[in-house]
Amino acid sequence: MLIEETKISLLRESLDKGRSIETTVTGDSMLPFLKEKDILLVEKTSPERIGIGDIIVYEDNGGLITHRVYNKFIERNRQYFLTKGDNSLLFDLPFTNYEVVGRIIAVKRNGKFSYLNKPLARIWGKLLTRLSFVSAWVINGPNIIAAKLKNPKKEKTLSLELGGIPLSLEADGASFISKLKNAFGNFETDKEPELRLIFKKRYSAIQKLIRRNIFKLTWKDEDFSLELPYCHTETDFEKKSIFVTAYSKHGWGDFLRFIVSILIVERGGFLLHASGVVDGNRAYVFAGPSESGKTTIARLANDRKILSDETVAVVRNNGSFLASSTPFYGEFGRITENTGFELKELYFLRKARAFEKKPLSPAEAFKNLFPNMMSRINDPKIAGRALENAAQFAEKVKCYELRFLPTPDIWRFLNGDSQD
Amino acid sequence: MEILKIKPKRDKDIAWRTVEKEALIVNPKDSLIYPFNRVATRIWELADGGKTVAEIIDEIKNEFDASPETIERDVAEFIENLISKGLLEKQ
Repeated sequence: MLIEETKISLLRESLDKGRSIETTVTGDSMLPFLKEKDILLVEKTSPERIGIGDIIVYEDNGGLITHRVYNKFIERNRQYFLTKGDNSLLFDLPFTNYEVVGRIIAVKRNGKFSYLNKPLARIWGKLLTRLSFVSAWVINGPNIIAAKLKNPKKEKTLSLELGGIPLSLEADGASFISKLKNAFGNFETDKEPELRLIFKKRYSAIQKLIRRNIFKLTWKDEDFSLELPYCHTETDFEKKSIFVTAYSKHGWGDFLRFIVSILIVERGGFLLHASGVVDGNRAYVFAGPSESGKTTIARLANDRKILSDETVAVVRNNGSFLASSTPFYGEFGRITENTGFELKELYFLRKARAFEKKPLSPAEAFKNLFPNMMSRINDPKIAGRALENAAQFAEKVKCYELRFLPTPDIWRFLNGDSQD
Repeated sequence: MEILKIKPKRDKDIAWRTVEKEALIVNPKDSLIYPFNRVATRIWELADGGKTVAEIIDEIKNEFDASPETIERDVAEFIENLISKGLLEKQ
């Protein structure tokens, strides 16, 4: 770590003196734009000159990361950046301009420099920031590795709690676990795992090609096998194990979300397309499709705890329901804490010119809720259980249609005893 | 009419659940979700493979307040529609 810190401070010093610095790409999170061993020319720049679509180098936990800028915003007089690898599904934790080391101005490949201020490179960058998820899929699923210079810890297991389910992730190689830890480390747990996910790496270009569009879920009593483009999965719930043969380095964020979406339904809960905010030790959940305002609500939360701006886990807890944070987030950025609170109210978002809160009957809530749940409804067994969970939720939890203006007044409107 | 003699039956792979007498129907084959109102839900419940469409129409006439002609036409059309979408099977 000391060597890395010294390296970074030397790098900053050189940049401060107006020099450009060359650095080499490690990792593949910026594929296909940047490849391993490409040489990057880094230049110091001011935060104002960094635009959406630019590739920047920033400090993260003693290491350096090279990712593309997807958004920049000012909060409490500080400039924040939101970045992501072109080949990653998940956004990085937002960081301030103090973490920014410099901007990539050119890429040297096969001895030739390509300058990124050329129109084609700029259009590519801007296009990617708009089509981030599409591009992640086209390039064989998301990669959760940051293009980093730091050394990972050599651990072969990782215990995570996702959607209230403690899971032990085990692999035959430390690097695989280290990549998962990079993306999901905030959800590490000491709890006894309910299930072991045992990964075997069998990376194969041929398998990737053969399995390109495969999706098949087959049940054998309570166990299932699952074929995805990047893995073959077999459950053995009697042995509390899920065996995963990994054919690709990529796709694991998506895989975990998928597995959790099945496991949680078995436990009476579900993953919901929603943002979640905690106010007065109770969770308010805001469901809706893309562009409905989920991230906007999270941004208006001020000091309140955010559970997610994209995926909230609804977990059955005796007779009631908890809303739990998940590591599956949207534009707001990485969620820093694994936590769950009693779910007070659920809102279905509608953007409007005024505030209006309309209570929904259980039948209305049920019909609004189900399409927002992340369940593989192309499987009759899962669809049936998910419907049952949605019905029980709709009969238990107060649900509303919420028309709202994107202003901080939303908390006064929702909760008269709010501290705002 | 031929349709009146059919005994429609819910496809076994269709997932459904009723809340306050209104059902959500999920067709796993095409991942489509159908929200049903009370009348549609009642027709769906009655389509158990044991009753003809004519018998279902009579039951709906007893339970809901509308003109007999409207019920006859709407129930028959609705059942034909569900058969064409693969939600109901002909028996």
